[in-house]
Amino acid sequence: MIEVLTPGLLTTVQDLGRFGFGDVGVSPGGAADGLALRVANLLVGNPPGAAGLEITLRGPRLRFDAPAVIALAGADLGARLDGAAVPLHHRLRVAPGAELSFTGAAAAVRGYLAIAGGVAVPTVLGGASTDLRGGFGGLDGRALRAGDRLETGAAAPLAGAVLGAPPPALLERGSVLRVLPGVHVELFGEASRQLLFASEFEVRSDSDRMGVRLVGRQLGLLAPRELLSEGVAPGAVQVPAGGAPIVLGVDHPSTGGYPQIAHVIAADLPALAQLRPHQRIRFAPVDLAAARAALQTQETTLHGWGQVLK
Amino acid sequence: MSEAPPLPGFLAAGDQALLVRFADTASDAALAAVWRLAAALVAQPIAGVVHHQPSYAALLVRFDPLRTDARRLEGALRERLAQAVEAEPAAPAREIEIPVAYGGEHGPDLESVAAHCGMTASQVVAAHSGARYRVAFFGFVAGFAYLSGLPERLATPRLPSPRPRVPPGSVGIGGAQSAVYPSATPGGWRLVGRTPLVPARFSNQPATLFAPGDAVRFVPIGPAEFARRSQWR
Repeated sequence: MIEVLTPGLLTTVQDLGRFGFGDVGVSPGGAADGLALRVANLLVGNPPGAAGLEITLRGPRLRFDAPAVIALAGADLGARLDGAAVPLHHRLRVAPGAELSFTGAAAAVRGYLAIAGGVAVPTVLGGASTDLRGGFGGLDGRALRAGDRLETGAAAPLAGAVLGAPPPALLERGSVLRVLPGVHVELFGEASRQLLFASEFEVRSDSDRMGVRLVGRQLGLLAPRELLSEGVAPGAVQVPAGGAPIVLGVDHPSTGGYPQIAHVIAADLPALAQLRPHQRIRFAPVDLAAARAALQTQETTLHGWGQVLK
Repeated sequence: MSEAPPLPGFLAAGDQALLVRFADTASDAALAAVWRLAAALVAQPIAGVVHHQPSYAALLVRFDPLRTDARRLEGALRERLAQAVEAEPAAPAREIEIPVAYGGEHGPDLESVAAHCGMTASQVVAAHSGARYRVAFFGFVAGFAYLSGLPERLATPRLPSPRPRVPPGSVGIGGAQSAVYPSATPGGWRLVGRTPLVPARFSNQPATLFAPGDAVRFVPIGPAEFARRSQWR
């Protein structure tokens, strides 16, 4: 049992998302940086998709009423266990009564806390992640509040040997987002396409799980068009009428009607999830082969690292 | 006897999704094609496909790029499309009546819709509740049913900026579309009324009042009846 003393800015229960419910308009959602959640879970012997906590900017203060094994991954938010600094990417044993808190850090956005056994919440539509827009899943469909109590599942027995530090391929979160052409790319002129790759964009501070809002050179369609709403996927680079792009995140609405000029590749979605307010980013065009190779490298690295255990 | 379905275009939406687009404008034929393909994916799943999202005239299919690729997936989808034409007709749609308290506190934009349409509020209520709608698809947020069938003369542009919170159950008009908000989300549509019934719930026993293909009719009720029947906490 974990008691939430203070909730932090936006702390939610997340797994890797609930897939297969588009017929009722439900987006998969899940951890914005799924790679970091998987790293944290592997460190405590959980299945990679076990439910953990996604912690945003300012972390919570949690008290563990029972012994627990935890690990932190993703952004370094300055974790402290009973006041002593604890590192990311380590399996940590927590004694009953211990308090986990976060001092915050300048260059970080989303951290992930995995607890051996996973966070136990009622399953909704086959998943444990929090659908904030729909108000269901996770802990009552909302962010953690002071006074909440979280249950954990039964932990798998952990052997003595531990995973070493995650390889760099699992940790890099850069500021260049590799993209493929968007589904409406032909509606944008050459000028906009060139601007997309030639300029820097700045991350607005009102970016969130729904999308990263950017400021920079204005992009535009060759001719104004109202498009039908269609299903969208994370990474889509939408351009509303105002010309400032939005890169859709995991909590995108299930359908959208803004034209899409580009699409961030799957391997760079973790980087998207860690973009900080006011960070300057660029887009780089790649082809499908490069996108596939990048994802394959990540997955092979994760699989290989996760095997070096026990 | 179904007409020949429109042949779709296939567009990569990133490296994890394929957009199957039947048309650029909404039509009954395109919507039927979307649902035929969606049903085929449920009845006969394609290896590597993890999710699909219907809309007016397109189906987004998400896949695991380590298990399949866009080209293989397109081939499998074309097969499903060819088979789907011969499929059994879908179960007959139901007719669902939704009680709605129009105007006042439950429909704060009724007057502005009336003004835009050059009608009185009563005329808007009569036209809106007199129409027969069909549930086209669910999108935007869980349980948000896009309805087709809004009378053209009621089409009203969205609000200049969205409300941060739309009361759940609100009945909205957005451009030429109409829908019932299932939960308290931000929203830019014009709110003409509110239903006391919960259109969709996803905690506890997930359930939706209506399904794609159902016919929906709105029945005007007064505020007292709304209060008596309200399922909203």
